Amino acid sequence: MSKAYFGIEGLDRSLENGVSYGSQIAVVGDSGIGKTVMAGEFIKEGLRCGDTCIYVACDEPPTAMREHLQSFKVGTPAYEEMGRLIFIDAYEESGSTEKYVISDHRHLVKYYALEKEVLHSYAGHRVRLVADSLSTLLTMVDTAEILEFHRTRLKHLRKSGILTMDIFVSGVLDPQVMTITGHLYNLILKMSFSSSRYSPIRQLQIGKVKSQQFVSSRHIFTISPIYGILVYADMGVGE
Amino acid sequence: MEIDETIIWLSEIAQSFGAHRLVIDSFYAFLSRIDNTAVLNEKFYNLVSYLNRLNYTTLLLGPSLELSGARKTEAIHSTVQGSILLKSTMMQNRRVRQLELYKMRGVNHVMGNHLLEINTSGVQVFPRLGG
Repeated sequence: MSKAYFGIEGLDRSLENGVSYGSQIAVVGDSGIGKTVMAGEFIKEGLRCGDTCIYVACDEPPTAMREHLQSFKVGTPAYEEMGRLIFIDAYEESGSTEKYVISDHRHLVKYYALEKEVLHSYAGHRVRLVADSLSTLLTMVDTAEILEFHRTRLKHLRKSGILTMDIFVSGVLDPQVMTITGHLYNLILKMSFSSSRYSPIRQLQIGKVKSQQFVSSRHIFTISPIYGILVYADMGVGE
Repeated sequence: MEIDETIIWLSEIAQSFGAHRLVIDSFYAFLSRIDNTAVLNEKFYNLVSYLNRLNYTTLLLGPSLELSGARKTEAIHSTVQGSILLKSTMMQNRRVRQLELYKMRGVNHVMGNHLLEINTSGVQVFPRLGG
């Protein structure tokens, strides 16, 4: 079975075996750290290796991701026409011109139903799904419902072989919910600013790789307007 | 008109059309005339068994049975093959419609409340998470 990669050299080097399709990745990070940039890289890599990519835009309209991908020289119209790149608008509650829109953000069952419908129409394809950021959709929902949603959804995604990247903004959800949720993911990536007050540094840490050995040291990374995320080799920062 | 006569009259009309499905909206309109619970149970039982004999699939619509008193409710639920409760509840200061499959005799079903919407396509139900 083929393995997937992030398209981020330093990170892919840390995950020598890559990730399997059907895995769920949680990216947890501070606001402004570069989570959407990582999502863009993940999608770009997916398009490059023949995957069908579905992007759920919760924090910005899908147009923002289109522009973002174009800034990395990925022309989205051709992929969209081919059905290789699909946007789900979970940002605009009304007035969206997108084909797939979540019109009511209060009910996770409606999100789940739409996501399943879209995934069903690409059954048999190798699919990457990115929800950016899932935590936004969960802010108005009870804890019990969030956990039920995660359990049901992730089980379905795993069974369907969907490579999923769910993005969570640090501090938005209750820490207990995040801890329980974390158990359900195969891979957790943590992105944070260093505690240095004068020169904030971006750091990336692999928080968990299920059933695999991994190095959990923090890696400094920067965001290049041309190359995207550049992860530096492990220098023992923050240990 | 007597309740029993009404039941027979309704059935004859449905038979004259060769109908297979019958909707009574609402059954409570004529059963509400009966105050005595025992008599109500008997009449309701008669109605259902008469319709069963005619092999109709019948949808009996009625007001929220929870409002009608527990004893009336239980008798009606036990007589029919399935009970679907339609609810309207407040969630986060917005009113939402919900559907509960309260009973479905001999059929495995997902219990609990499911989100229900009425849109341009008709009625849409979103099964609750968890299965």
